[in-house]
Order: sequence, then structure tokens, then C-alpha cells
Amino acid sequence: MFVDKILAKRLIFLSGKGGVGKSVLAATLAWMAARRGRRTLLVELDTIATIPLIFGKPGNGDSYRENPLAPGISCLHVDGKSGLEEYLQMMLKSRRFAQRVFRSPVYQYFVNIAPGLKELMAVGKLWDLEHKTGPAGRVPLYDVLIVDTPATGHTVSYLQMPLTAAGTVKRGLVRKEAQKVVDLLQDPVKTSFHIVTTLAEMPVNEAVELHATISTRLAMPLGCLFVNQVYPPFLAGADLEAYRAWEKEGLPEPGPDQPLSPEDPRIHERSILACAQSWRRRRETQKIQWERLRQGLPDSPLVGLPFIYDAESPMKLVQVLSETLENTDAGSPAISFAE
Amino acid sequence: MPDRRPFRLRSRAVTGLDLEALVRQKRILICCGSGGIGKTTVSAALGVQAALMGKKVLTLTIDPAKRLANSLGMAQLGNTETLVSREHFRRSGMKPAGSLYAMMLDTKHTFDELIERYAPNEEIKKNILKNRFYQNLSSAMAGSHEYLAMEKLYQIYLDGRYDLIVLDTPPTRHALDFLEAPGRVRAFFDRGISQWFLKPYLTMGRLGLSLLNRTSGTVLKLVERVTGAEFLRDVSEFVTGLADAFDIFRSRAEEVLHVLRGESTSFLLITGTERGALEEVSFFYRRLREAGLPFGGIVVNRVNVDPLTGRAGSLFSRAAVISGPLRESLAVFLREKTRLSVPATRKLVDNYHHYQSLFARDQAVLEEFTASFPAGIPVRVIPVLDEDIFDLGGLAKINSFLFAPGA
Repeated sequence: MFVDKILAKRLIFLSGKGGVGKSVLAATLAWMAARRGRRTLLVELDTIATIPLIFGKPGNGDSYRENPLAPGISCLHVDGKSGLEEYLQMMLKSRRFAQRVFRSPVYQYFVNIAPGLKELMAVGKLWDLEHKTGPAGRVPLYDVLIVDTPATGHTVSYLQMPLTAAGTVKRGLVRKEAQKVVDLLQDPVKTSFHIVTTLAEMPVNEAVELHATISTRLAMPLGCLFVNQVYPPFLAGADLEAYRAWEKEGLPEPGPDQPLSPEDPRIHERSILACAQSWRRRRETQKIQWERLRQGLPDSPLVGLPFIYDAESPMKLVQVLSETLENTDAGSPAISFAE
Repeated sequence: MPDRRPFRLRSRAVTGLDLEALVRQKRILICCGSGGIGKTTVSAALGVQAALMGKKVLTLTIDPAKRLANSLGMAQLGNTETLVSREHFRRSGMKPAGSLYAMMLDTKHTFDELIERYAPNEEIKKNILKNRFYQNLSSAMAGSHEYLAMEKLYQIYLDGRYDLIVLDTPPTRHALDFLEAPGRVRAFFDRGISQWFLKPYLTMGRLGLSLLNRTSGTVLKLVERVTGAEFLRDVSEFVTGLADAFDIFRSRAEEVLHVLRGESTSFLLITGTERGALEEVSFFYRRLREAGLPFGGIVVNRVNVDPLTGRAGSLFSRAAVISGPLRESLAVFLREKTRLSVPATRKLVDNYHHYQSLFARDQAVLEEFTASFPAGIPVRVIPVLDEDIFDLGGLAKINSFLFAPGA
């Protein structure tokens, strides 16, 4: 099945403009992976900690520890500063001495001025997690890592750091580490990068730009283009004609002296029409963007996800989306603007 | 004609945010908020309105993505101030009494300008511009954006060529760094610590390390092991080359903070109705208060409103979301009244339910959100629009909500 192909990778990135639903989609993929019996880690790469909230758990806060969210799913908030401290602690061995180093003003100064070091350490942590083994030794601790990333521009500056470091630093551990990380990020067997967008002007622009950056500058393997929050098609054929006739006929203004009970359908009629008109306009707006997206990225496999408004909780939303994805085939993008 | 009075909540804990007064009185407006909630659009819309009000205004964005150009319907923006042409306004049916300029901050370019201005001599200038540490620092690294934005903002402010500057900041997490920028640059260019730690390295090489205390020495050795020795040499060259400029940088950073705290500046917090964005704004509000920075008000973008009246609080707040049996009788009613098929009437009623649910949800979210602020907090609401906003006409539509006269 289509989603199995996505989940076959070990390191799955999701990126796109803020507000397009990356975190919920990341949670959905994790949910589906866990249901397939795979040990899954959701990684928040320097984003606002919202993923635990989706699962109804408190946020990770500043703690740098894997947080169990559901059977088979843990979450880790990765930021560069903690990543660096963890790394140095490993090198320093003595915990107490490490604590003293981290408090030292020279260290603080260094951390603040070393450009990109924090970003490098954060991405380096992904390599570390991918290689982490369980208590038994050889078996990987996690089968799948799903990475929710910050807004597009910052995602690129994070993922670019290992490349920059491998290119500019000539010797030292940074150079060695950076190359390892670059190799993982560009590995088409293990890694794939998915773009998430909605059908609105700016998210579409960013998706097209991001696609170019990922495939050229970062040379990372691209996955799918998830098109989120798609409105259903408006009425068509005879129904569209009947709708137009109803719209044209005009609706009676409810006079102030005819009080109607809230149960009377007549007081809802104008609102039903207003909502229908809005639906039609939004669908048309989306159609324009859909065409722009098709034009900008003609070769990308598109996965359409419906606009869901009646999920009582984010977890319910995850379940509804995962059902949609379970029923999506690679051949059919599930959305069409043929009308 | 949709009703565009400022929205009212049952609790009446909010007042309408008077953006017109802010545009008239302030010289700097700073828009902060998390990503994806239309912050850039709001900044651009404020610029358009200021121009219509006769101001010479600059909208400055430091967002890495090219959103401002998008919002203004322009193809590209460089580090130069671009005038939005009268012709462009005219095509959207507007005739501004003032003028609108737009600019996107080019971090690298701004940093180079700074070095060129403050390097003590030609040789140091040349060395620094090709120093690898500097090149890394200046090209789009998180952290340097914020300082440079402040630097540019301050430069433009001092030049005095504009009546108003509207600044669109990067997504919140980084906008917070932006507040810390003056402090950070002070620490960065702190003569004491930088020389204490780097001078010995440059002048005495590794031998110098033994002169430091044990912890500092270890840190430097560690740094060397991690990054290689070239890195430290590059840092040394950079820091010592600019040593004399440090005092200037530091006092500039302090002046910037002074202007930000002053009467002529106001911070606007922009949010949507998603929990994450609202939480960021609450956090940001506390930070502004702690830092003694002037808070102007909150703009809530993309609020689901009553599609009939275009209002955030009205009909639906009184009528509960329609129940199952009522949905059934509405479908029957439509079927009798129109020639729509059974599935079509069901779709229309479901769609009505969809809008009502979203409206009710946003209503509840906003009630809860505003209740967490002091009473009378200034708030403006922009509804979800059916069309995309990507040209001046769209921005004018946004302004019809931002600047609607108070009720």
C-alpha cells in the first residue's frame, strides 16, 4: 500500500510553510507506523512543542528526554544547545566537570558565537538517534524517525549546516561528524523528505521553492507532496443548476415583527445559502492554487487530504487522516479539480 | 455589505484596537507572532493604510521567505527600498496621498556594510571580509538575523527619511532572539571576555591556554578538538580586528533598545486561532512586559465568522450549532423549496454545520484567550477570507477589517 512505501524509510522529514498542518500529519504518520508494530520516534526539530499536545500529553518543555506518547510512539524535542551539551558530556566523561564547563562564561560565549554550531548539533542528533540501539545491542532502538521541522526558511538553514560545515571546516571532529550526517541526509534508502502545503498562494510558493532547494542545494531524496485541507467539490450538473435557481430567486428578508423559533428552517435559509456561497468561492480559490501547484511541480506525486472540521480533538483528527491515508493508492492522488 | 464593527465577546473583556491612532502617532510598528498566521500580510496592509493616510512608509521584512514581495504583488524585493508605484495602486483603485516602500533585509549585505563602516583600516576590513568565521556568521545564520534587523531598523530610523517603519519579524521563536539582540550583541562584543579568552590564543598560541584557569583552558581545548584550530584562529582574527569597534557596536545596541522602549515604537502581536499560535502570543506578551517594551495590541487573523453577517460574534453565538434532528428538517425544507437532489441538500446542510462548528470553536477559543489578559486589552479580528490575499486589492480588504471605525 501507498503509505507503506512512505513508512519504509527510517528518517522521514516533513516541512512546509507554518500553519499547513505539518505537526498533525507527523503525528498521523507516527500513529500509522505504530499500528504497523514499528517503534516510532517523533522528533520536533526546534519547533514549538505541540506534538505531545496532539496526543493529549503535556509538552516536553525544555527537557531533553524521550517522552512516551502512545504505545509504540515517543517524542523528543531536539534543540541544538542540549544536543551540544550531550555531545560534550560524552567527550568529557565526568558529569560534574561537564556541568562546570557548561556554566563557565567562556563556554557560554563560545556557544553563542560559533555560527551554526547549535544547528549542526541538532541535525547531528538525528544521526545519533538513527544509530541508537536498544538494550540488546544490535537492534535499532527506533524503526522510524519522523521529523517535524520549523518554518521553511529555518528548516533549510538547519539542514544546510552539515553541508556548510563539511565544506568549510577542514579538520577536527566537526568535519568528521558533519560528513556522516550529510551522508545520512542524502541516503535515498534511509531518508525521504516530504513537503506539506495547503492550496493557498503563499504555502504553494514556499512548497515550490522548497522543492527546488531540497533537490538541488541540499541534494536530499524527495518524497511526496501532501496537499492538506482540501475542500470537497461543490455541487455539479443538475444540482448546480438547481442551486443557481435558488440563489437567483432571492430570499425573503426576515422581518423584525415575525419572530421565528430557532427550530424554524426559514431562519436558517439565508445562512445556509451564505455558507454555500463561501464554500463555492473557497473551492474556486483552491482550484487556482491547485493549478499553480501542478504547474510548478509537474512531476511530484501528490497526496490530497480533506479539510476536516468536525474532529472533536486533535487525536480524532489524526485518526480520520490516517483512515484517508490508508485508503490512498499511489496511482490516485485522491483529489481532483476536474469540475 | 458585511458588518465590520470590531468584534465583541460576551465577556466584553476587550476593546477595539485603534490601529489608525498607532499609524498616525508612531514611527516604528513591530509585528510579532508565530509563522503561518499572516504576519507579513498584516505588516504589508499596515503599510498600505499608512500610505493612504498620507505617510511616507517603509515595510521592512526579515523573514527568510519572500513573503512581502508576495503580499505586495511584486515580483522581487532586494536589500534596496522599492517604491510601490502609483500605477500599481491605481490598478487596485487606490490613490495614496503618501508613498509606500518595501524592503527585504539581506543579512549578508547589511553585515558587510557594518564591517565596511567600522573596520579601523583597509587591511583589517579586507581580512575580515574574507575571514571564514565572518563569512559563516554573516550568511543567514540563525541569531545574526535578529541583530542585523535591529541595526538596519535603527539606521533607517536615524536617517529620518520615513514617517513610519513597519517591521515584520521572523516567526516568534526567533523574534524572541530579536528582543535579546541588543543584550546578545553586548555580550558578543564584550571587550573584557572576548579578549580574555581570545587574545592569548592569538598571541601565544596553545601556550596561552595554560595561562587561563582550568575550566576555561579545557573549554578552549575542547573547542579546538571539536572545530579544529582554524576556527579559533578565525574567531581571534575577527574579534581582535574589530576590537576598537566594539564600543561603538555596544553603544549602538543600547541606543536601539532605548528607541524600542520609547514613545515612538509600538509592538503588535499577530496570531491565528490555533492553540500553538495563541500560546506564543501569550508568552510574547509577558516577555514584552518584562522587557519594558511598549505593547500596542493583538490582531487575530483568520477567525471563522458568521458567513451571513461577516461578524465574529452574533447570530451563531446565540443559536447553538444545529442538532441532528434540525439538520434533517433543514434538508427536507430545502428539498421542498428547491429542485436540489437529496444528496445535494444533505451536502449543503452539512456545509452549514461545518461553518457553524468552526465559528463556535473560534468563538470559544477567543473567549478563553482574551480572558487570560487584563480587561480591556485592545484586540482586532480579521475573518477567514474566501479569496487569497496576494495583491494590493487584497490588502485593502484586510484593512477594511483592521481600520473599521470602532463601535
